[in-house]
Order: sequence, then C-alpha cells, then structure tokens
Amino acid sequence: MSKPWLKGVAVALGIPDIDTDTIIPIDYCVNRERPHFDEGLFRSWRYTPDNRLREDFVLNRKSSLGCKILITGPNFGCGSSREMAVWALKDFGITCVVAESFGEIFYDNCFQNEVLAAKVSRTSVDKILSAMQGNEKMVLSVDIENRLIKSETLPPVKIELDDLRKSALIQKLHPIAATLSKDQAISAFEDSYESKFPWVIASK
Amino acid sequence: MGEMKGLGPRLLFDKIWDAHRVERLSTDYDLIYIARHMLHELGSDVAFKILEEHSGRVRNPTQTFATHDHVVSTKGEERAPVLPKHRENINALRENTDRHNIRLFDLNSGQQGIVHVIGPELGITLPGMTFVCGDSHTCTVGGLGCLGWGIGTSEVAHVLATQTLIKRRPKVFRINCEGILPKGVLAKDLILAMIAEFGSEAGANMALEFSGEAISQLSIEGRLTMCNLSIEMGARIGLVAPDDASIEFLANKPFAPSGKLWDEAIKYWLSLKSEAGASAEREESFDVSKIGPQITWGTSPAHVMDVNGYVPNPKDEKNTTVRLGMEKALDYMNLTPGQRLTDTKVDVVFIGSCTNGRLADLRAAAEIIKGQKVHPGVKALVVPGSTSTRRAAEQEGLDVIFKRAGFEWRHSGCSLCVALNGDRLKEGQRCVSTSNRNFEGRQGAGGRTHLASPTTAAASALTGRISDRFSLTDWCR
Ligand code: SF4
Repeated sequence: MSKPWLKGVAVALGIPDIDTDTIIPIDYCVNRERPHFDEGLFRSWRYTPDNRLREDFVLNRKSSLGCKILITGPNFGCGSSREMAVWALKDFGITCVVAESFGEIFYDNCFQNEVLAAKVSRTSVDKILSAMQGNEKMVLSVDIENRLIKSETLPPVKIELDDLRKSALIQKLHPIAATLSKDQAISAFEDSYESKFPWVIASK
Repeated sequence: MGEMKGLGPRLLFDKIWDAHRVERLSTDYDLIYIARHMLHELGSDVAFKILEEHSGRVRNPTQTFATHDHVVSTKGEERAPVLPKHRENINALRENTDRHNIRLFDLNSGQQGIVHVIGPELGITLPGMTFVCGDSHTCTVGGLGCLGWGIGTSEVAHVLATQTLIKRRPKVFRINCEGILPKGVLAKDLILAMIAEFGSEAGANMALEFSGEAISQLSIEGRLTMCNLSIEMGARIGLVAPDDASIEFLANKPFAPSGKLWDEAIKYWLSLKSEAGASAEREESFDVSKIGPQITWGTSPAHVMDVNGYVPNPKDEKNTTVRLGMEKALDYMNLTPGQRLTDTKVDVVFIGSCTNGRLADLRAAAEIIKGQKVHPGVKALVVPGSTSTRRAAEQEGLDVIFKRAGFEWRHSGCSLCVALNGDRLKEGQRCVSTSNRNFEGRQGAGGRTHLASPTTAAASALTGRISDRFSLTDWCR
C-alpha cells in the first residue's frame, strides 16, 4: 500500500461559520514572516486577554499535541480574504481541514499553500465528530489519490475534490509557474480583447 | 452548466465571464483575464515577495492601481499610522508601486480612499469588466455590473505576474427582488434581511445576481452596498445589471472612457443584461415590501433581526451546530434570548466603511441627527469612505451637522471596520456599526458589533440605545 498523503492526529471544533478573523485576528497578520503566523491562530480562543494559555481549549490539550487535521463545522474560513488564516494553520502544523463547506476565498487560499480543504458530506462530519467524542486521540489518514479519509474505527469518508486541485496537490506545481508558461496564449487573448474593449487598457 | 452557452440566451454573468476566458483548463476551471486590479497596503508587500520568486515582473502595470486604506489613521491631517510596523506597510506599497510603475493614490493625492469606494468613484471598476483585489469585499463593484471578487495574497501575485487567474466557473444564484422598499428603509436593511432569509453560505460557489424592480429603483450607492455584503451571504461575487443610472454615475469619472470610446462603451454596457429565457442554477424571489430596519444580534451576518424584534432563542433551533453557534454568539454578545435589542445600551457608533461610507450614506445619517445631540454616553464617529467623499460632504455642510451633534469627523480609511489603525473597541464595548462584519473581535478583542444601516446607527447615537429611526421622535421628546 502506498503511503498516505497525510496521517496525523485530528482535533474537533464543531462550530459553524468560523471566520478568518477568528482563525487569525488582524493584529497578527501584519508584518510577520512565515512560519510564525501560528502565534495568532485562534488567538482569543487559545489565550486569555492577558496572554495566558487557555488549557481547556481543544488545541491546547495534551492529546492534541502535533495535530495535523482539523474537523470543523460548515462555512469554515468565511469572511476576510486574509491568506494568513491558512498560513497560521499551516505554521501550527495543520495541513488538512475537514468540513462540509468552506468560505470560498479561504478554500482557494488553502490550495495555494498545499493545504487540503477537504469537503465531505454533513453526515460524514457528524460521524467523525461523534467518534471523536470521548476518544482521547483520533488518528486519521488522508488518501488523496482515492479521495478518502480513513481511520481504524470508521468506514472511509469520501472527499469532494476536483481533478485540477487533486493533481496540483500531488504534483506540487506552483500556479504562477503554470500560468507563466501560457504567456503566448495570454498575449493572443490580449490582442483581441484590446480591439473589442479598447477602453479597458486605453485609459493609461 | 458551466459551459459556454453558444447562441442560447445568456445571463449577465455568462457574458462577462466568457468575454474574459483566455483558456479552458478543465471542465470547471478557466484561465480568466483580469481587466483591472487594485492593491492596498495591508499584505501586498508579501505578494511582491512572491512575485520575486517567479518572474519578478508586473505584466501590465497600467491595469493595477493602489491606495492606502486599512492601516492608515483617520485622525489628523498627517494620517500617521499608529504602529511602526504599519508605517512599514505604507512605505513598502510606495516602494513597490514606484518600482513597478503602478499608479498609487497616496494619502495626499486627493484620490485616496477605501479601495471599494474609490474603484467606482474614479471609474476604475467599470461594467462588464473583471476586477480583483486582495480583499473579500471586492464584490462591492458588482453594483455597477463589474465582475469583481476578492483574492488572497498568492493570487495577488498571480495577477501581477500574469494578469490572469485560474478560477473555477461559479454558478449563478439570481434573486429577484419584488415590490417596493418602504420609504426610509435602506439597501443595508434589504441585504441584511436577505442574508437572514437565505443564510450565510447560500451563495457558496455562486455569483449572485440581484434583479427586479426594487433593485432598479436603488441608487448606485445602494447597489454597491448590497453587492458589498454578497460575501456575507457566502458569495464571492454579487452583480446588478448596468442601466442608465450606472451610466449617469460613471459619466466624467477620471478613469472611465471619454469621447468616442465612451459611446462605444455605453452601447456595450447596456447590452449586458441577462436575457429572457436564460436560467440560473438557483432562482428565488424576495419580497422587499415589508422589510423594516434590520440589525444583527450575534456574531454571524446571518444573525439578523428586526431592530424592534426580540433576540431569538437557540432552543428553538433544531440543527445542533447552528444552535451551538447561536449559544456561543449570545454569550459573546452578552444578550439573553427573548430580550429586546432596543433596551440595549450602546457605547460606540461607527458610520463609514466600504459598505456605508459613501455620500448617500452620510446624507441619510445627517438627516437623522441634524440639530440633535449625540447621547453623552456614546462615542460616535463618521469616517467618509474616500477623500473626495469627505470633500463633497463638506461642500454640502454635512461635516458641520455631524460635528455640532458631537460626532467626530474623520479622514477616509477603514477605521473601526477593521481595528488596525488606532480605532478599536475596548473589551465589552457595544457598537452599532454600518460596516459588514460582526465576527468576534472584528472591531477589537472582546468588542461587540451590531451591524445596521446608517440611519439606525445615527438614531442609536442620539439615544444611546439601539434604536429604530422610525420611533426616534418619541425618544427625543
Ligand atoms: S472598510 Fe472594512 S470591509 Fe471594507 S475594505 Fe476596509 S476593512 Fe475591509
């Protein structure tokens, strides 16, 4: 059997509509260098206002140490376009977020950073979440090739993932490099675009 | 779906999308040409760093524009940012735009402002174009029939390098607004009511098209406000078909075409309507005739209620995750199920942002507060969305009305919408805000945000409590 794309401890945050402001408050977005955005990750949930660790918060528990996968409610990553939300998760070590749905910009930002935003059905999320309840440590593995999330206790869960995203995750080709190779097609397009809509580029 | 529809009837969205398709990448993905692009000082320095890792060259510098809005202070002429690291952001944008020959509307240019306000105001974001910016409220420009959406930093770099994006073709969700909006009820109330009805993720992977009589009757400012909150309904794109009002709005704008090109452009813009018989993935009609002033009670933009209503009870909600979200929100907002919001004391009132920082918004608020006084317990500020909005408002004497009432009259910028520039709520403070996000901590850690229209915000500033502008006379007597 081939090595899974990812295998690791999963943590649960079963709340809907977790927005990118919550994932990383704006103060932690400015002038920070990778890989230190994790300082801001879920800042007000992980820390008290006077910067003490909230030990009861799920990401701070001992059993969550080294976690790589986050299972969460629908519409995760809604709101602000800040890519720092993805960087914060990744810098913390989370490279796969599993939810029924995602904020669209967050979803795209994940794939710019080789983070898997795994869309699965609502029943699958519910099943994983209830299996995690009372289970100190849940280890999941992600099989990108077959678009599956596997564990020892649950039947495999299907990930909804299109071919383009899937091959980008496997091939690790940067999208900018891919598009730069299409320079001629872009130039040809520009010529006809400029003649059709001369006011777009003309107003210099 | 998702196909180029040949000669069949097409939607507004299809027409713009198809005109910008460079190449088809897969069944759902296209390489899309970006007509215009805007940068702001927050985070674009990282985009330039990513660019350096690739071509290092901005492909079409004249199609990108830049300004400062997020971190600049709105206090005082010098607009000095509060933290040194913010000054670094501002200087980095200056250096990067200078090096790559990108036009920057700098602080003293007279044209600075919030990107989504100056785009339409300067005629940069025109009907029928694709437009992107590293900010989620780029959807605002859909109010002019411009196909705009927000992107992350890596995608900003992608646009700088290639003038294109790899983008999945969204489906279209068309909402036909029937009836006439009651007098004094604003576009903000309409869109909040719509988010309450359809939910905060109804627009996921969709482009919204707002149509119908109520939309045709809205001012362009109102349409921009509606499209601004498309993202709060989960949609990256909102659109309204351009019409005569759009053309009137754009006439003589600095970056809009003129002369023969203007005539050609108008002809094209007016052809962009969705055709009869073209069908969207989802169609809904929405009756606007009974909407009253709306306000959010919780921490999701879907947590909306009538300003005169009662805070909902999570116990009535069947879906467990939604219920958990409601409980958490009530706890954070320090509200009890069943209570009236109009009983609630307000500490801060903020009128501004890319949602409601335009001249029409300032006029609506000024009408409420004219000759009145802000409640002594309230800190109230008005932040025009752009430098030219500020100037236009001053020409009408709106600044005097606000200042006499006890409002602070600021320079333009994002201000308290984002809490990054010296304006922020203190822990536990409650704010009625005309902005677009009521997320936990959005206006400052521990701050509590109620989103509402400029008139509801103005009324609340006067009474010191969340207030319905229509019951205001009683309050003030
Ligand atoms: S006003 Fe608020 S929402 Fe608009 S661009 Fe600025 S920070 Fe973003």
